Amino acid sequence: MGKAERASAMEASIKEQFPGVATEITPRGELVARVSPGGYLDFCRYLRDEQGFKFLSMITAVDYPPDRFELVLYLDAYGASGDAPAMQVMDTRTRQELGPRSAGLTTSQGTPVMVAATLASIIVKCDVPHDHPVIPSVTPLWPTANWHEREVYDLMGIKFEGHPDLRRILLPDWFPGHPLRKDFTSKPALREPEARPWPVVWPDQKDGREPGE
Amino acid sequence: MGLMDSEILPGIITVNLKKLLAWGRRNSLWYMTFGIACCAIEMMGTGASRFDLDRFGLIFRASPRQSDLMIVAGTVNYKMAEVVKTLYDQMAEPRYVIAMGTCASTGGPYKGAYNVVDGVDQIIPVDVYVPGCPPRPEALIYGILQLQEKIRAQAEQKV
Repeated sequence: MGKAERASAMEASIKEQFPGVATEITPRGELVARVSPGGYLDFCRYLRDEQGFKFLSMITAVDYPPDRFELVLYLDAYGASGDAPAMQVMDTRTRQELGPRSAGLTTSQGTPVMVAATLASIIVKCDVPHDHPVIPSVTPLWPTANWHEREVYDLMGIKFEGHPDLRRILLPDWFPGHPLRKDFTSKPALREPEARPWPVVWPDQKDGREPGE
Repeated sequence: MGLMDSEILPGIITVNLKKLLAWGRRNSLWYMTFGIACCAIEMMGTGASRFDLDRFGLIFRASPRQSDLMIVAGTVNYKMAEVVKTLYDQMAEPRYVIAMGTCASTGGPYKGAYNVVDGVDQIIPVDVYVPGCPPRPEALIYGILQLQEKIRAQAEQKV
């Protein structure tokens, strides 16, 4: 089954289960699903448990001023080989169910090699309003979402409800604002010691020492 | 060296103490093992056998407490700025700073970016700026020689 056919089969089953979710297929054959913040978590749980999307590839966000952010999730389902049934989930059992193409592969030590292939991928988009940028966290579903969501929070300022540890991840804790928002303009100035956000230990002299020393 | 100029008796040297101290300082500038970005690769190359900073009395020290010179080799972002400032504060005086490369000098290609300090001189005083992206080892050595010259000149300036 090709990528586009797989995407349209998945689109049909999603439409059946979630009539409120808008779907489209991009020219590259990727399935895109748009959900509302209310149904976001349930839809993600459905994708993981029913559709086999065990792998969260990335979370990012786009700012569309003046009123909304678009949260974007890339999900993948992996399986044993190109001949494996769609939505097959990579786990220990897969080793016994390897397709013929990968059956004979071993390492130099004789350990069987599992060839993982992307069976399906989906892009989940969710609009988050500017005036109340709060959305449920998917960290309970995919533990890897922890740092991805911290990055989105750090740079975009979207708050993830239920996140176990929502701190900035890249910028220092004292950083003012969220720099990937389109309305971010201010950059912290450091030249004046008083403006620095950490304790000032620098002496009073202009360059910190006597010129003759 | 200039130290032997004032010889008046065989085996005896008279010298200005300040000049003597400056002579010692400039010929044993121990610098801190502290690289932030790609310039650090050039700094390591400068310190290694091909260019050999030992020739100038410079050796790597692993602690700011034992260092006289900090070569800021790379882009300083805001999270690192606090660390750079702390390390500088931990160095014993007299202490010297070389801003290596355009990033440390002005912010370089990242100038104006939201998380990059536009030149390390915003947080610590800089003695010598070495341009380049990254500077070649010869450029860094020239910068170090300029710093040695600066230390000598500072001692002679004020009597």
